[in-house]
Amino acid sequence: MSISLRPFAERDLVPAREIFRQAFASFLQIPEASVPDGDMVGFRSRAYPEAAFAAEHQGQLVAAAFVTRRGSQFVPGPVIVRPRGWTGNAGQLLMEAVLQRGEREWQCRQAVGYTFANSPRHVEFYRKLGLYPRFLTATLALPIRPVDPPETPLTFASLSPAQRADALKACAALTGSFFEGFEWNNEIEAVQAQEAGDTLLIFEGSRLDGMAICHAGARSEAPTGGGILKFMAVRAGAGKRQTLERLIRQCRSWAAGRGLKGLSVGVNLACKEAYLHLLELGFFTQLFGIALHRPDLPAHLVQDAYVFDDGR
Amino acid sequence: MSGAAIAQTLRSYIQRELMGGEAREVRDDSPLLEWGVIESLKMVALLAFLEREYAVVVPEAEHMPENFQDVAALTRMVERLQAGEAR
Repeated sequence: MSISLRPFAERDLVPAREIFRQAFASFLQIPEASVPDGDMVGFRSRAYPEAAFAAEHQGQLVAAAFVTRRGSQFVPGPVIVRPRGWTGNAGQLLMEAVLQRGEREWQCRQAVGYTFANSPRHVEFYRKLGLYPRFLTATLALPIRPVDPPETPLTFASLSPAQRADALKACAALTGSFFEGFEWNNEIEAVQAQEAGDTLLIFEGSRLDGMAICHAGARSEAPTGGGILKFMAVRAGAGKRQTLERLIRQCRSWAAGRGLKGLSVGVNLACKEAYLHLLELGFFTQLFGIALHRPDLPAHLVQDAYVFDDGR
Repeated sequence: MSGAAIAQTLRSYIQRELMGGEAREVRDDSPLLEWGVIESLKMVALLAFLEREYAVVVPEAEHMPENFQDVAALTRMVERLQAGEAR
């Protein structure tokens, strides 16, 4: 067999970043220098080293894939493949490894991924692997202007070790209210450990009502000068609109304080109320992808859920 | 189907489906791998086309760059597989 798989290693970082740029530039038909410089490859491989795979041909890296666990769910991808030269069936082999890790080894109940909505080839590739295309996923952007008066958010970084342990339990309880076992604690801890941003928390007494995991800085997935709201969740109930608005104000303050020019966030259009509310708050849609579900079930993405992530 | 007919069908398919209207003309010796015409996802589509059009399943052992580097190599592989001569 000409393509072989192995665990992703430190030495793969440089060529994998190059493949990432080449692959996106090739697909989007833009110069490599125009591909956003967020370090998704570096962040993911450091955060989840047991869940990164490399594909090589004749000793050279030709493709790589990452899989991220979200408690009872997992994110299959991204899969990056060198756009020129021989790569054989590297994409398919990597996806099979990713699905095996998520379903057989981690015993996750649901995969929720993402691909380009405007690429029949990508959508069909994943569909044949059992990842069914469901609703569009929007990536929205918000230019950052100073917040007056500025809000000082409660951040995970500011907590003591004991408080962090309690905060993680509260975060898991909040995310688990949308889908049993769904949680982002490994992402919160990875962002903290890698100094790749912070997590903003809104407590009402001892109850967590809102959370936002924010990526920013050179070691994060965010591009230079920008931030990514990698995941946000707001407790269901009568006060959710007010909580989201407060959370966004806090995110804007946090971003302005770091000198960021803009924030981006993903939301699946199945979460109709959440999507429309972000538009009301001044976010604008930059691009659409599509959510891929295996099995073909809604997971946490339902009409009234205030859950925000792009599935990447 | 003759080798020339297979090559013509493959050139047409590659130009239309894998190159998405690109102006470059596909010849029998065009370097498909260097051009990025047969990257991983397109490979999946191409394998499905070969199975549908020529009733050949390309076994794993044939997944080698020498067989996919250009239309001439693809044609030779299809002819070999149709004759039941997998490697």
